[in-house]
Amino acid sequence: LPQTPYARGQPCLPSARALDRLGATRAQLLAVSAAPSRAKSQPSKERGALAAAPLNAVLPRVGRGRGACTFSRARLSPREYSKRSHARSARDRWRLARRDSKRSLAHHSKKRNLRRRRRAESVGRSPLIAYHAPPRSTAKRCEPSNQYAAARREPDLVAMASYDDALAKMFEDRLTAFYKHYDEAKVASVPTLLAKYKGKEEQLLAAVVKKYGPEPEPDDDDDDDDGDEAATDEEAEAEARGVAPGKDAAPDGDEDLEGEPEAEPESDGEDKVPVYCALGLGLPPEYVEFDPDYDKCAEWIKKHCPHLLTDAGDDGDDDGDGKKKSRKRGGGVVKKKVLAEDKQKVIISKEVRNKKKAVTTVEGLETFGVKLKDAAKVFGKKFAASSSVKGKDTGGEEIVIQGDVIWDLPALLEKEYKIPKAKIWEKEKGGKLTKVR
Amino acid sequence: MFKKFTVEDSVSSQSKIKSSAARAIRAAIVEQYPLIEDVIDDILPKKDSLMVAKCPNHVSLLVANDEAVFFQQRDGPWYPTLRLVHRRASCFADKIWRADSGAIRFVLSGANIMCPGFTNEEAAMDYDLAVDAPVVVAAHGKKHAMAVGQVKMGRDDVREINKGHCVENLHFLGDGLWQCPKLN
Repeated sequence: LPQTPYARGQPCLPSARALDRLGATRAQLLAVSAAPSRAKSQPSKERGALAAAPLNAVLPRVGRGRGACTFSRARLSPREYSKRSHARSARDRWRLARRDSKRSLAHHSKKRNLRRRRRAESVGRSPLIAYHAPPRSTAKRCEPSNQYAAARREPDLVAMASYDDALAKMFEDRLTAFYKHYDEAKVASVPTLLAKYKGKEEQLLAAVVKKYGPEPEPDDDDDDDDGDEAATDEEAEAEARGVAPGKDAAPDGDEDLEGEPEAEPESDGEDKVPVYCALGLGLPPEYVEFDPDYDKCAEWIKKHCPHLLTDAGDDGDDDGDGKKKSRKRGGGVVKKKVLAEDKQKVIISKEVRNKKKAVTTVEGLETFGVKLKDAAKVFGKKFAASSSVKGKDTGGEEIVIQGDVIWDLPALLEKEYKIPKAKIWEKEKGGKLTKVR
Repeated sequence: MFKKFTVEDSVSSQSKIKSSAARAIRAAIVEQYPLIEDVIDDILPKKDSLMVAKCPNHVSLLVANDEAVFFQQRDGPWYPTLRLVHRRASCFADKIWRADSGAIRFVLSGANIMCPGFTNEEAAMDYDLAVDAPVVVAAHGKKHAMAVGQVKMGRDDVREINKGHCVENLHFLGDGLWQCPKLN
């Protein structure tokens, strides 16, 4: 703003850019500027001061010295503004102004202004037009009443009350076009969808694209057809390759029954989630005869997806034996040999080697199907002791742990190997067996 | 290779890989399995970073979305896990060798496959794969593949010589890797 008083009779208004920065409205300034023209008779200095006075009431004051300058480079938030109006002295004002001028030079305000500019441009409005509200809160931004804005606005854009509305309309258009292309019936449900996914429209679009396919270009709709053809060709190839008929019978139907662990319902021809038996090794039903837990699996399959079982009709008696053999061989995982329940017993005992050194022995863990070497390792780690597997005199093996760990062992056994305390016995002196507490 | 494999014991470490390395892996996989190109972004999403889990014997597992999708030994080719092969059968359609049904029980206990398994009447070797290339082993009369292996003898050799191991069994149905689908 020029500091000189107004030229005779000519109102000198701040430029649009300055207006924008100052946050004042054109209307306010017009009103203010009308004042000096009435006071033509007064000497120029006073006129300038007069002009300045009402302006100062509106605009934030910055200045070195007397604070006559009414131009501030930094935009004020309401909080700042009130701070300034409550500034006690010129010195306070000066201090605040100094801080502002420094801040306005800072990087982030430049970025902020750039962003603001870009945002305004994207909606089709000129950033140089004064708004009624500070641009920081987009929700409160109302339509500029300015004549310039009207001129610069694109003719086909409907007047948007706010930036959010413009976005919403864009998504609505995209979704309607999308559904018109893929599924006419759902076009009507677009508004409800948008209301439901307010704020998450991008995600909604991504999900819908995943389900149906790429978004249709407004010009050509041929892409979709090509994509479909390609998918079906590959499928046909895969099917033609020695697949027994009747196996394709609707795995999709069964997915609903089972509630597959894989939560991918879309089968667009490429991603087919197969049905696996829930018991045993989780093999597909056609391979379940090779599962070590064949009996349980067969039952499960008969219940859930009987049509996926291989027909045993052709196979004769040999294969009855063959199946038994295969069951014995198992699927690569050696089944743990668990003895009959009543024979399971773990005996813990303590022997004193020297006067103060003791050794704890654990025998009978193999009755619970526990691998002794691994168990010995675990004990060694847990008790920070040396533990090893030694052969018993009577044959068989036992685990020997250096140190006296009799008190801690039962808890560990229960936790690690799920051995109930009822089955753990303690061998006292004299060979008596007592139950562990 | 995964006969004794558990998530707790066998996986020594899991680490995210840089996007540059991930891109290289993706390119290598697409090069090996050209049919996977269209869906590679579904299998190995670009947004989440992929993780590599290290396992004994210099084996690394490529993990995407908490599922093991490919595995590799030393710096060899990337093999798909059977779960991936079942879901995306069409991507690996050009690597399938079909063995006869008598071989199933041996394959499912981890054995390597011998030549007679493929020169049978029931068997089919539709594609000529190079030695040391990945191969998906399917069974006659079954829809789903049963093993993923490495070719030890080319197709013509198999037919001529008809003796010895022709496919090394790396990953089969029901092995340790099959049984742990989720890797955290």
